[in-house]
Amino acid sequence: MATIPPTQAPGTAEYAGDEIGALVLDPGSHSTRAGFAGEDTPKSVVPTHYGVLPTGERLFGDNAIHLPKADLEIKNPYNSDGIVEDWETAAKLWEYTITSRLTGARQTPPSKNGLNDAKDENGDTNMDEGMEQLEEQEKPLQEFPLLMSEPAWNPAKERQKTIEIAMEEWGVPAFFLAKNGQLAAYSQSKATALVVDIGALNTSVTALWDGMVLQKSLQHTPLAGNWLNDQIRIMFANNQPPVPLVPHYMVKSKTPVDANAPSSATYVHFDKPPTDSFRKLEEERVLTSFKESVVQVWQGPGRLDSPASQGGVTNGDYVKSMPPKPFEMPDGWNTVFGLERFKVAEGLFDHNAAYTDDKTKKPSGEQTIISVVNKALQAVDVDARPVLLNNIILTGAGSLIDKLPERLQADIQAMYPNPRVRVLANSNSVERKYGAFVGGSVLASLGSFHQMWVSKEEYAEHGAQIVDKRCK
Amino acid sequence: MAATERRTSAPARSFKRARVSRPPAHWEQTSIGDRPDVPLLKHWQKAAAQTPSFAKYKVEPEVPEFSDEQYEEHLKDPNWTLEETRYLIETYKGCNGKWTVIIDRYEKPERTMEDLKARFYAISAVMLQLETPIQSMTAPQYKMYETLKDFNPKQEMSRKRLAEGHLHRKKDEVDEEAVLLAELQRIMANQESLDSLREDLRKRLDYPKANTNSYQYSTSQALHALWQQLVNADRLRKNQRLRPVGPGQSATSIEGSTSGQTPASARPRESNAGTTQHEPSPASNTKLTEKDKRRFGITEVGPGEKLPSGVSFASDKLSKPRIAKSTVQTEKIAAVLSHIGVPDLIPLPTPPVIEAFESLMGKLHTLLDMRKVAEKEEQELRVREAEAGAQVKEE
Ligand SMILES: Nc1ncnc2c1ncn2[C@@H]1O[C@H](COP(=O)(O)OP(=O)(O)O)[C@@H](O)[C@H]1O
Ligand SMILES: [Mg+2]
Repeated sequence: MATIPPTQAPGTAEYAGDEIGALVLDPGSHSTRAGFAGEDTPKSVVPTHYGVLPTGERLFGDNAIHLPKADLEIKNPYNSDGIVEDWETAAKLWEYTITSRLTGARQTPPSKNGLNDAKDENGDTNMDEGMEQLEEQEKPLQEFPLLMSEPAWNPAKERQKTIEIAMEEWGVPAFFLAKNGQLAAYSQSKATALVVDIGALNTSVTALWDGMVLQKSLQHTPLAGNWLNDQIRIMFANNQPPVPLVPHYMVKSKTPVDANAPSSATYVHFDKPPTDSFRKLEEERVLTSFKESVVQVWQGPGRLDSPASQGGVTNGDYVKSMPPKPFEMPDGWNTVFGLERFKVAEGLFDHNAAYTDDKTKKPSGEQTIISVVNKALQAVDVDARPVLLNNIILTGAGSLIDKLPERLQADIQAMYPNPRVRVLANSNSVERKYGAFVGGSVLASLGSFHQMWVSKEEYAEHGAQIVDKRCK
Repeated sequence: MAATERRTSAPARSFKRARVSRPPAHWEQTSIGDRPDVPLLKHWQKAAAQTPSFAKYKVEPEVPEFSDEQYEEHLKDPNWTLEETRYLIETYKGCNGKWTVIIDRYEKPERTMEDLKARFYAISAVMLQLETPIQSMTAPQYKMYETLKDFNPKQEMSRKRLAEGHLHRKKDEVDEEAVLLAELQRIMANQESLDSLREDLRKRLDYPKANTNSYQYSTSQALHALWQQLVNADRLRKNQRLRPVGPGQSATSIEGSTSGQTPASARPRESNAGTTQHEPSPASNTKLTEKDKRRFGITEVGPGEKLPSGVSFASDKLSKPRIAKSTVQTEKIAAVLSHIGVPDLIPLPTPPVIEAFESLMGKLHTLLDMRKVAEKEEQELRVREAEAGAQVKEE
């Protein structure tokens, strides 16, 4: 996930710190992204999942959490609505994302590193003295103004908690909180747009007018990346023969086998197998690569099951005539997927097409991406709607499914045949993945943004409520 | 904003041939902007250069200001309280005067955007007039005052209802519009080609030129205005559905045909002189006397004249023009020719014969064109008369 291999430190020459010292942090439920303002990709990308050892120690970062260890539990600080639940961990994770790759860990001040302490008779050092005043110097981000993104539906309490952490734990000199939809629009140089952000836990819709978020337009639905993973799991289970989902860590070596034939691989033997949560995380990685290389959205017009022409032929029948795509599991088991590779994504647009099992209920018609886009549009002034329809921005890593932009465009145009509908989806997948970060990077390096920061002094004077006034 | 650090650039190395020696520049690091509380931007610049200021970006929209007494005296409205009026003005300010955002943020759901606009404009009008009495307003001020006063919320509401209906027009209605537009396109193209036909004919007849467009769109003026309006509206679309018609964009180019328009320069010059002899190489047809040329029927192509490509026979020049696009036309031509005694087969296609035949054909075509136009005009007259008759009957 990280943009630079974890073993390689970013070159010092790449820093734009001389001009702009601001940091941008875009925390998501799937990954946490951070970098310096003015740069076009986040230098630091860390999975939001973290590991917990039985001792209670938390492990962050790709290297730590993907290594099979007995008793390593995988957790995520977000709740199912995409809002931070475990604040303590979230704060640590965010701090790790910034300090591990960008600012460097703070140095222990000489007065505290133990080398300069006068020892008493027992050889113990006196630690209490001077702690108060030292506190100030120890905060990790004292030199860096910080721009953070948040989900549009972040509750007031959580917003205040965020500024508190930034100001008090990290000691930032200035802070700002922006909606991630708003930032994604800025990354495309748009101040007026309807942003559709397909992430891991949620797909959200945000209307932006002249740079200001229209509060009544805000919508979100759980039909997003993780939901799609569940659809694929059900499809795998119902496939003939069922598709065995085997993550990489279980396989020691494999030999090629024919399609649908049992795999011929040596598996790793664990005295105590890794936890279910670990296995789930690793399975999701396989599913993500399946989404990346196999899954495709029926591009429209119409649904997968709507008639393609006279004579009872549906779009699905047409799709069946296309060559199927192969996929190989880490243990060598492989098969091809024809209609199924379209069917798994169809539920995002047509709730009746969703796969269901005893754990996964059929979504309601209100929850499809098209319905939430429509609800958002209905909540804004009539005169604004054609403008927004002409500037629909698609962002988020979950939107990287093949032909998804085309389908979104076709379905919205079918709903509004008259005005001109235009879906803008950056063809560069990095830009699409990091839309909110890139927009934040642009915003924080604009001279005109300078007036917007909440400074440390202002925070001291007004308290955490200042985010409600300043960051609308 | 004070310099925090100073640096001197490396002393200029003196190269032998360097003529100009610049004094070393001093650079200083400053934090820029007007917010000393936000030490955000650190910036190296030449010493004593001006620090950029971002204060200019802090703009607030102008709002009417009034005291509580002024409110009591001039601005009271049974539907509004002083508090809500002030809240409206604060919201307007907070949203930079963008009504789309104001209605979004306004915390009283029962108010429509038109209510808010009506109230805000009414207050602005009153305050404007209190500040500058109407008699002493400048023209732009008065215009502003009138616009503010004339805001009609009811009309706005019904306009919005229409706009909403327009957004949700059905697919078949949109398709129908596309068909109608195509039809209009065709009508306009036909009008245009008929127009140019007439123009052409009049030129051939050396008709005294009328100084206005000779064809009066007496009843189609509205159509024309509509056309213009549609074309202008269409320009804003990316996939345009209408193409302008008019001189320079005659009917042929609308049908997308460019046949026979290949530039002459793009073709290799052929050596056939357009009559009987086809000379294999250009070198061999030089050195012929005027008399020989006449004898062999050779004509020279002047510079800039265009020749059709390939081989053609002189006899073709006497037979091909007799055949028109339509059989009706061909028959008409044949009838005229036999009437004036031109035989079907002319034995010797010499240049003078061809020339005579061509001039005859030119006249014949003029005649036929005139007849065509006369017929068209007659037809139109009959239609107009029928229309007039129908109108009279209706009344
Ligand atoms: N190439 C890809 N194709 C399809 N889905 C992808 C791709 N890469 C990542 N995803 C999915 O995108 C989701 C993460 O999206 P992201 O925008 O990073 O979420 P968040 O902002 O919530 O962290 C995950 O569900 C992941 O499986
Ligand atoms: Mg996101």
